[in-house]
Amino acid sequence: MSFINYSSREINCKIVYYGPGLCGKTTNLQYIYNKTAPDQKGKMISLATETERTLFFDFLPLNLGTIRGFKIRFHLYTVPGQVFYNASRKLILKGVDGIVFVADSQVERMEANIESFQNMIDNLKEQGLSLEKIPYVIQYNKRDLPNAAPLDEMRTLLNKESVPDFEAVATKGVGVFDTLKAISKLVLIELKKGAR
Amino acid sequence: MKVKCPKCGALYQIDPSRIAKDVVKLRCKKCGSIFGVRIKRAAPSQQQEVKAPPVEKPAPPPPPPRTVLLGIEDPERLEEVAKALETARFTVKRATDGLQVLDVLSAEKPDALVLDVVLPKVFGFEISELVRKRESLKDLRIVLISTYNKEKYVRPAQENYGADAFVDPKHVVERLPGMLRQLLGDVSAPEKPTPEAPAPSPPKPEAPQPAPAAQPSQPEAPPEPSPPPSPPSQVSATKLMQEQAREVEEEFPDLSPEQRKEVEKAKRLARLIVSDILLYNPDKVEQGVKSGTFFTLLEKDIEDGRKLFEERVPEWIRQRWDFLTEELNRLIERKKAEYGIS
Repeated sequence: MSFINYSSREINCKIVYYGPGLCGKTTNLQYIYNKTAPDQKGKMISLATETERTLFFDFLPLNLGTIRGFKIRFHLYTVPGQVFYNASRKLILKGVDGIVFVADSQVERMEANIESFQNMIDNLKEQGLSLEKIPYVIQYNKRDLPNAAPLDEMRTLLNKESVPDFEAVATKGVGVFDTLKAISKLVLIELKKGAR
Repeated sequence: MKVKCPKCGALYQIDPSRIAKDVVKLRCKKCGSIFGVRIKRAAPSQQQEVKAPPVEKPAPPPPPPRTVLLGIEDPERLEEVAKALETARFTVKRATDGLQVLDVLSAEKPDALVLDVVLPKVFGFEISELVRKRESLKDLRIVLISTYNKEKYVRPAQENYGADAFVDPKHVVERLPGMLRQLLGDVSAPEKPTPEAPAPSPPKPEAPQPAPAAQPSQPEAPPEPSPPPSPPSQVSATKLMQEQAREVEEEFPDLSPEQRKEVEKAKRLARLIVSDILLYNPDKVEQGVKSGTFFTLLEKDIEDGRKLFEERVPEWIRQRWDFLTEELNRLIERKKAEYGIS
């Protein structure tokens, strides 16, 4: 649920990057952080261990201009991907406005993608939410790997609703901003609908 | 010598005298898994084909002159790797995008090609595929540099794109010269190959290939790189999962379809937990397998995993089988085979 602060004329939206362990969620945020002008971004906070695992979340506030005099600020979060940190994932999903599901294209991680996707649906359900209500896009990351599954197959397995989807190599920035733009657009459309 | 598939236990008999390399990869006919085998050689005196090594080793002869075509997008990185190769007496031709690589290849024939997987304009793996289709370049050795340091998930490059080896970007400078000499036959294989070191795979059946597509012209759209075309993968996730479901069907014929589904789910969860443990703790896994302290070193993760497993898997399954321990043991066996520990 986007948070609108009328006194400071700000709209805050929460975007969550969801996906299995080491699929590239943090890498997406890091790339966005590195390529965004200093005046447009806040401090990126990463609660991670030295082995790069995200223990709780990464957080990156982004300023995206104004709509009807209201400043739009997006807060990007990631969830811990490791299958046993579900409590944190549930917590981070609270008040979500849009989701980027980052899938790992490697064939060996397809089970993990499917499990994570289902886990996302279950966790949303617990909060009375569903993917029908929350805008989401899918990113197929690590497309440069030789063991990447064919795109069509990934679509069949993960994108049954034909939402916008993108191929990506997040370490190189390929597809990162396309994904962010798409989810931002969907969230803003939803915001407009709510304002009517 | 006899070899055992670490996954399903199927036994195979292989003849070391018919295999030139010290480490080979085999695909199990029964379960389809691929595993590495270190060939045990008989004493050199019993081998007729082995060239007698000189008793006294004088200074090694200088390596033959070799030309390497190196394709890396970042000019600084390109220079760094090129210098490492030049120090090792290679002649290096440089390219910063895929089209430049193809240009050089149309005019001359280097001995080896080293390419970043994601090269602008034409990807490294696409070039590898194109080269393999050209008769005149069939001797060219190809090494791909991956963006990722996930060796355990990277299938050998040669399986998919006809490359000869794959190198981790973190270790390019120190490993590449030796790897190339080995590939080019200038030196014998090292005692213990690294996980990335070239390993021969069983000959692939030559599938009919469609004519190579026209060069994908990647429109330059800074600041964001263009989206990549999907690699023409030969691997299928659906097939892999169907195989796993079939295995459950074969293994538990007396269960009802619903029960089998539950078992399949439990097995899948066990696989996921174990693959996460491996993904997040590669060093501990290696150390634990090598020193026999796997369960102690990874105690915390295994405990977390077991907790989740108990939460999500019905009791009737847990009482009859311990899929999580089975999966952990399978990982240990797989890693032992990888490290050459019997």
